[in-house]
Amino acid sequence: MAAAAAEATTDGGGKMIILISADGKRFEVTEAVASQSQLISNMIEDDCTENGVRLPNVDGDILTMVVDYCNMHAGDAAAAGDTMKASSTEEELKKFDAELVQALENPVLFKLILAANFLNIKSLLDMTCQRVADMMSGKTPEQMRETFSIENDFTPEEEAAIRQENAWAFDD
Amino acid sequence: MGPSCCEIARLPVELLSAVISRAAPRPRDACRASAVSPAFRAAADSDDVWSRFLPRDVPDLADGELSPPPPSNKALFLRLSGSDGNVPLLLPDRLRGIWFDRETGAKCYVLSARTLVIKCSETSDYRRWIPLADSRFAEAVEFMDAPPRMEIRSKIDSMVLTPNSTYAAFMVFKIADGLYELDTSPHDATVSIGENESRREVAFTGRYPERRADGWMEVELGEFFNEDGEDGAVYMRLMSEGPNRMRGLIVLGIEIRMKRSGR
Repeated sequence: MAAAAAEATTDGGGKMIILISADGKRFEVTEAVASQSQLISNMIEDDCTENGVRLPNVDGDILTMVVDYCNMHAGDAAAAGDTMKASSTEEELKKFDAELVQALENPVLFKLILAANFLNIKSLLDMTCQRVADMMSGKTPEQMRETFSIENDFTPEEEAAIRQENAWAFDD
Repeated sequence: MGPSCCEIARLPVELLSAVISRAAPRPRDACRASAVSPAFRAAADSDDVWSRFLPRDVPDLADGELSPPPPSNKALFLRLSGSDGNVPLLLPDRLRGIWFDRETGAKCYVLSARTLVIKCSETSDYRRWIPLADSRFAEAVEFMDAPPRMEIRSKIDSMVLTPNSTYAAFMVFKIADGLYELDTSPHDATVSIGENESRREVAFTGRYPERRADGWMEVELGEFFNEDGEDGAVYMRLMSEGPNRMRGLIVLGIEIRMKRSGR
């Protein structure tokens, strides 16, 4: 069945690829969309996507977001001649990216970073890392712990030693 | 602690480093991040994060100045910026020192008394060289007597400074224990680069000097802006028409550093 699905083609003639999430959800995407992932792009080159691509590290809900992102950005990566599909304008893309990233809450954001890292989608990884960086910047260690629900598992002595070592960075 | 908690701490060190690199535009921010948790510390102290802060233009240093080699990029940065309490790094002549401002990365210098041009009376018995135990430099100059006219000059090639930076020049000194006799009337200090000159009155006593953490005192001679590609020199001069009572004044040298931050 997967093999049959993998044979399917779009109207435009691009080959379709099936992505299978950790929890068994299936996503059918074009090669152009899927190959924004360097991992999958390499698999396509090596011809090993016929039976679908299993992604044991990526949950269905995260993969949904990744596929949405890749669909939206397929215009970037696909050949410029592919004008059959109305590829998104730059403005639409910016808006889409901004909304995607703004909507992300802590656990989902980190899962998306891990997925972008595993799938090797550089633009998505950059964007999600930047989001975390923005949440972190200008904060004190206490505020960072609060923002990211991090338990402080330093002993008081360890923390004091670190602050001592880096005293100049805390002096304002 | 629920499963949704601490997701960030589960990011592999290299991803957390990538995040901290972006979140920490300044070395100060990276240091602060290291106090969050052990996972943050591993990432925030990583060579990846600190390689961005390392200066690209470290000049030749005196033998042994970086030995043993600092074990990490962070340790190297702290060494180069003098944040490990062992400043400055000596240049090969051991008469000049350099460090990199830890906030901006700008190059800062200290020029020892031996590099200064000190002009007073014809004789040389108005001053003597004294060995130092509390400095990276071997010697300082101590004034003994009252020269009729006194001038201390120094210059630095503007090309060795960081472009587009506002610097200030400071005379670093102390007053000898015991017998001293200093004028309270001010001297003229000028600092010039190209057509620009700053001029002010300074004195080694009264309201002018500030005490430093290292036990020396300093007085600002003036400030200057080192423009991009400025080809020339910065001239620093302290002078007064005598007679000056300067007995007990010990001059370590002149420091040229960022205007807004100390070290």
